[in-house]
Amino acid sequence: MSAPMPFLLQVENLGKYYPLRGGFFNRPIGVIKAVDGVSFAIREGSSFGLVGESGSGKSTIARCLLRLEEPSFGRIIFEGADLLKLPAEELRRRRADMQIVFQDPFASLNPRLTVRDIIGEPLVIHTPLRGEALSARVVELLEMVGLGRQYLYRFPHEFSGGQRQRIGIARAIALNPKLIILDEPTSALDVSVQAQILNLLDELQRRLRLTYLFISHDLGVIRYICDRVALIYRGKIVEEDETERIFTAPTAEYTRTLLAAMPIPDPDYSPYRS
Amino acid sequence: MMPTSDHPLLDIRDLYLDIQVFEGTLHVLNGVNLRLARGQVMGLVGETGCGKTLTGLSVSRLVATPPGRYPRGEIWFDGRNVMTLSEAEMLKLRGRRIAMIFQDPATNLNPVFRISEQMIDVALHIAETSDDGGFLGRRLSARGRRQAARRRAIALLEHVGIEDAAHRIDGYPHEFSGGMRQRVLIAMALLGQPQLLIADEPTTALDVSVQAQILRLLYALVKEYHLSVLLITHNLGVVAQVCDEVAVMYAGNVVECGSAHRVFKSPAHPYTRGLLRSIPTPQTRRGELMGVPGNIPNLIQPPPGCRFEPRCPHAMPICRTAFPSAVALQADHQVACYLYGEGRP
Ligand SMILES: Nc1ncnc2c1ncn2[C@@H]1O[C@H](COP(=O)(O)OP(=O)(O)OP(=O)(O)O)[C@@H](O)[C@H]1O
Ligand SMILES: Nc1ncnc2c1ncn2[C@@H]1O[C@H](COP(=O)(O)OP(=O)(O)OP(=O)(O)O)[C@@H](O)[C@H]1O
Ligand code: SF4
Ligand SMILES: [Mg+2]
Ligand SMILES: [Mg+2]
Repeated sequence: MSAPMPFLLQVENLGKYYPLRGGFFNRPIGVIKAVDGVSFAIREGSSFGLVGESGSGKSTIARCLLRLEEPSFGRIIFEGADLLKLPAEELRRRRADMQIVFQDPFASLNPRLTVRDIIGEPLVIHTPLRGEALSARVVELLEMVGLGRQYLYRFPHEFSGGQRQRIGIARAIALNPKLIILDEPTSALDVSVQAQILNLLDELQRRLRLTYLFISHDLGVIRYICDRVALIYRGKIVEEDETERIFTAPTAEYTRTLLAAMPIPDPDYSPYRS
Repeated sequence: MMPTSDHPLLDIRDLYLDIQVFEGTLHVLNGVNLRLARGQVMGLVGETGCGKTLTGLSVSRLVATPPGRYPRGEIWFDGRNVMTLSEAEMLKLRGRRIAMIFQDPATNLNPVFRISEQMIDVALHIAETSDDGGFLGRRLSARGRRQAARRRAIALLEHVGIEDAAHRIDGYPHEFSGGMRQRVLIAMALLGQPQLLIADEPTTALDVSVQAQILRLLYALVKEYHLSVLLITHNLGVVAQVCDEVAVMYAGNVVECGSAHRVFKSPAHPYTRGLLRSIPTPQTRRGELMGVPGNIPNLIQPPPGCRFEPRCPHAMPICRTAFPSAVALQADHQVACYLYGEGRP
C-alpha cells in the first residue's frame, strides 16, 4: 500500500446563513441556516460525493468554495492556504485551480456565443492565448471530451444535453484545474447519456489527475463514482464515510431512509408489490 | 404486437405521427404498437425525444394538427377508435375516462388560481356535461352544486394524503411542495373517475424520498380503483418498482415490450440491453459502465429500416431494409429486431 494522498481541500466548520425577511416592513426576522457548520476533507485525485435532498445546502457549499458567495463562518483550506484569508490577487490565481460544472452549463450562458467563445472564455481571462493559439487549445479540449474541430463555431442550441455537458466539462478543464465541482452534472440526462458522461469523467480524472467534488441526489451514481460520501441534511453533515461503508452499513437514520427510497431497477426488489 | 388480454383497455396500432417544423417534417412516431390491459400499470421508457409524450398526448388527441399529422394508425380505447371521434365525443373521454398528468408543470395547475377554484371548476364541468348529471344529480341550486363539488374535491384531496384538506384546498399552487402538488394533480385526475391515467414523468422533479411516497400512493390507487396507468418516465428504477409491464421506445417505435419481469430479467433488444447496462449497479466497477454509444437519430431523415441500426453492435444488412416486425419470444414478451424470429437471417 502506498501512503494516502495529501488533502487537496479541507473544509472546517463552514456556514452560510441567509437573512429571512418578512413581516410588514420586510425586515430580517430570522436566519435561514443553508449551511450550518460543515466539515469534510478531500484527498488529491479522489472523488468525494455530497448527497442530500433538495434544499439541504449542497449548491450553497459549492458556491462558498468557489467564493461566488461569502461564507458566514468557517475555513476553506485549499492546498494548505486558507482561501478566506488570501489577498485578492493570490485568490484570483487560485481560482483557476477550482472549476465547476453545472447541471446545464448552457442555461446560464449567452445563446449567441459560439463553442469557441464558451470554452475559450476562461482562457482569455487567465492566459495570454489568443487567435489561432486559442482555437488550437479549444480544439484540443473538444477532442478530450469526445467532440471535434467541427463543433468550434456551433451555437448552444445546436447541441443535445449530453453534448452540452461535454462542452461544460471542456470549459471546466481548460485551465488545468486541480479540483472540479460537479453540481448534478447528469441529473438532466438520460441514463445512456449519463453513462457516457460518467465514463468521460472517469477517464479525465485519471488522465489529468483531477479531484472531484460530486454533488448528486442519485445514490447509484454516487456509489459508482465516489471514494467517500457525505450525507447532508438541512445544512449539516449527518454521516460521512467511505462509499462502501455508507452503502453497506449506514449508521445515520437519514442515510437509511434515503437508501430505502432509492428505486432499484429490478422488479424483484419492489417495496410496493407484495 | 401480441395481445396480453382479450380486450385491452388501450390498444395503439401502427401509429404514425409527423410534425411539420421549420427545417422539414419530423417523423416522430413510426408505427407505434402498444396494448394496455385493465388494472395494469405500464411503464413507457426510452431516451429523451423518442416520442413518449407524443404517444401519451395522442391517446387524448391533444397533439395539434397542424403542425402534427397522422398518416396512419388507430388508437382503440375501450372498444372505440379515438382517431375517428369528433371533438365533442373526445370531450366526454378526456379528463374523465382518460385522465392525464402532464410533463409540463404549467399545463397542470394555474399559479394564479386557488386549488379549490381549479378543482371545483373541473368537477362542475365534468358533472354538468355528464349525461346523468354525474355526482351532482339534477336538482341542485348553483350554490348547492359548488358546495357539492367542493366537498368532493376535499374528499379526494384527503384520500391522496393532503392533511387538513378542507383548509389547504384554498391555497395557491406555490404554497404546496413539489410532492404535495403531485398529490393534488392525482386528486384532480381522479375527479373524472378515469379508467386510464396517463402520467407523464410524475416524479421526475421530486427527491427520492418524496418520489417513493408518490409511487406508493399511485400503486395503492391502482389497486383500489382498478385503474390502468401509462407511466411515462425515463427512470428504469421507478418502472421496475411499480409497473406490471414495460414498453421500450426508441426513436418513434416500441422496440420491446412485455412483463416487467421479462424485460428486466431477459432484455432482448440491443437497445434495451444497452439501456439496462447504462445504470450503475453496486457491482459495476469504475470505468466499466457500458452505456449506449452514439446519439439519437435525426427524425427528419431517420435511418431506413431499424432506426437503432447506426448504433447497434449487431447490425446486419437486412436491418437497413425495413423496420422489423414484432415477434413474440414468450406470451408476455415481444421484440422488434431482426435477431429474433422469422426475420432472422
Ligand atoms: N440567496 C439565497 N437567499 C436565501 N436563501 C437561500 C439562498 N440561496 C439558497 N437559499 C436557501 O438555502 C437552502 C439550501 O439551498 P441549496 O441551493 O444549497 O440546496 P441544494 O442542496 O443545492 O438543493 P437542490 O438539490 O434543490 O439543488 C435552501 O433552503 C434555499 O432556499
Ligand atoms: N410541438 C412540437 N413541435 C415540434 N416538434 C416536437 C413537438 N413536440 C415534440 N416534438 C419532437 O418530437 C420528438 C418526440 O417528442 P416527445 O416530447 O414525445 O419526446 P419524449 O420521449 O417525451 O422526450 P422527453 O423524455 O424529453 O420528455 C422530439 O424530437 C421532439 O423534439
Ligand atoms: S434490427 Fe438489426 S439494427 Fe435493429 S436492433 Fe436488431 S440487430 Fe440491431
Ligand atoms: Mg443544488
Ligand atoms: Mg416527454
